[in-house]
Amino acid sequence: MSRPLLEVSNLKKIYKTKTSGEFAAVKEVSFSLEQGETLGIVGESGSGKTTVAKMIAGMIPVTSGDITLNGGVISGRQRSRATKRNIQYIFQDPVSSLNPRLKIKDILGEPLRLYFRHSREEVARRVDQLLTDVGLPVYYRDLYPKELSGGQCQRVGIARAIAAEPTVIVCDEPTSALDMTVQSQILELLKRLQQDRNLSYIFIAHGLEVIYTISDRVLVMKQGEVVESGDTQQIFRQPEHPYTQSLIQAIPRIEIPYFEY
Amino acid sequence: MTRNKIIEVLDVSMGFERKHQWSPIFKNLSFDIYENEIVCLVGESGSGKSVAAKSIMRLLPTPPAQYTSGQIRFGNKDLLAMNEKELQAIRGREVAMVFQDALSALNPVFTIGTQMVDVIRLHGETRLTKRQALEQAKELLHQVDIRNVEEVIQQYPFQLSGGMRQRVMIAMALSSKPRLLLADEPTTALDVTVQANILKLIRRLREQYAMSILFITHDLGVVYEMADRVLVMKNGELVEEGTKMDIFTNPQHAYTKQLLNSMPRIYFQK
Repeated sequence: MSRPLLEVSNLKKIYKTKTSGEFAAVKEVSFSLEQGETLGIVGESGSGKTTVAKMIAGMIPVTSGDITLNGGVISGRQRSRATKRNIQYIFQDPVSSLNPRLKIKDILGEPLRLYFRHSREEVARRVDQLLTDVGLPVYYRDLYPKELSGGQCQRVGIARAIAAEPTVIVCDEPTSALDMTVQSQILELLKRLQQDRNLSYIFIAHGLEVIYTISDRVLVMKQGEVVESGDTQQIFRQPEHPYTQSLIQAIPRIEIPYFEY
Repeated sequence: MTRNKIIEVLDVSMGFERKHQWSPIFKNLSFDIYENEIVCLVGESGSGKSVAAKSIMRLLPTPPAQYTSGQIRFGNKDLLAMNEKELQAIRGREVAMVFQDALSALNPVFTIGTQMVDVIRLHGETRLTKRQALEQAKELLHQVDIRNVEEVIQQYPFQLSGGMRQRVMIAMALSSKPRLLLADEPTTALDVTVQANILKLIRRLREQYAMSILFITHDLGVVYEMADRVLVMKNGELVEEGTKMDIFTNPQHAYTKQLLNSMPRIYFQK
């Protein structure tokens, strides 16, 4: 069995405040991510899950601990361009994560121009291909974010992430701000892209129902620590930690047999 | 046994006029809310559900909102025809509202105690002293399952968690013992465990206060937990209505079916 794609060991994030001493947002978190798998991280607001996500994505510095990608340590001060390209991020609020002053084609063009040496024609061709891959019509290339719905903006956010051709995508609650009909479509899109492009996901969620749909394994976080982890099926069948149990109980139960309406 | 209607929305059409452009929001909308029931108004963003609910409280300034037809009957009066003075007698008293984001709904520069005392004295039936109002405020906070009432009274909204703020908003809404509570996605911004507790609280309070609730949501799991009846809106139109079981076991409209199909499979498990 080959080594995991991403390994996180003893990751800590401590904020020093002026008046209240030190605040440990992430106390000591360790886990690994295999190639092609989706690891879900679930927890309430303040559990540290987004902080972990941002440290993996290189958006905030690590206080201590290691993050290795393909065996190479990436948690140091500076990340190489290759590493930055390899780990991409999808934001929770699709609308505010897109530059409102740029057309869609320029939003998608940014990572293409930053990480690759394509000709102008090639960039344009790839932009059209990305839009098609995420299920948007090609003419959207000339629109501005404000002309798109929340779900459509999130598709652009996903297109922007895959434009860099990463190996890992950190998805930070990408469906929380969307309506239920749109949520399921976005999750289906993410699953399809994962298969087509052999992507690995770290998927942050605040509830277990999304995790159930998309994750292979789950980490349950509470107050900066991992309180339970395991295969998704296992966690649902036999949750051990009381907090995990309360998350499962929070899922609405519909006492009607399921069928396609 | 016939139940009384609290609200009758009769053929109401409404839109916004901005810079000589007319944007219709809904047309010929009709529905009823009866005594002592929870009605879930479900639809996606842009369906008009929030605007329909706010119309019941006449919360939308007119202009730019304009009601071009219909009535909203509350008792034997038409809310759309009332003047501001008549509306103030009803808003916050007989009809109260709870919003999605408690942080922006609460006044950030006043303590919880001060805000609640203001609301209680404003909407109360009799003239209460500050001390009496404060006692009532504390009692209401107990009722919404807040444990550290003495502490919360002295705190500012930013010092409370999302769930606590939402409980405070509910307490404020209940202070006048309204006949109808409008809840506009009150749990959408909360963590799932907190959401489950708040929904349980709302159901309990409904029993206790024997009030009706118009609960706006886009989450069908919430609809299943809360609704007696369901109204489904799409693009400003009421496309389907029925009891909860009607909607979940025998949906008629294609859009309702689409909504039902978008629910996570896990909702049906075990």
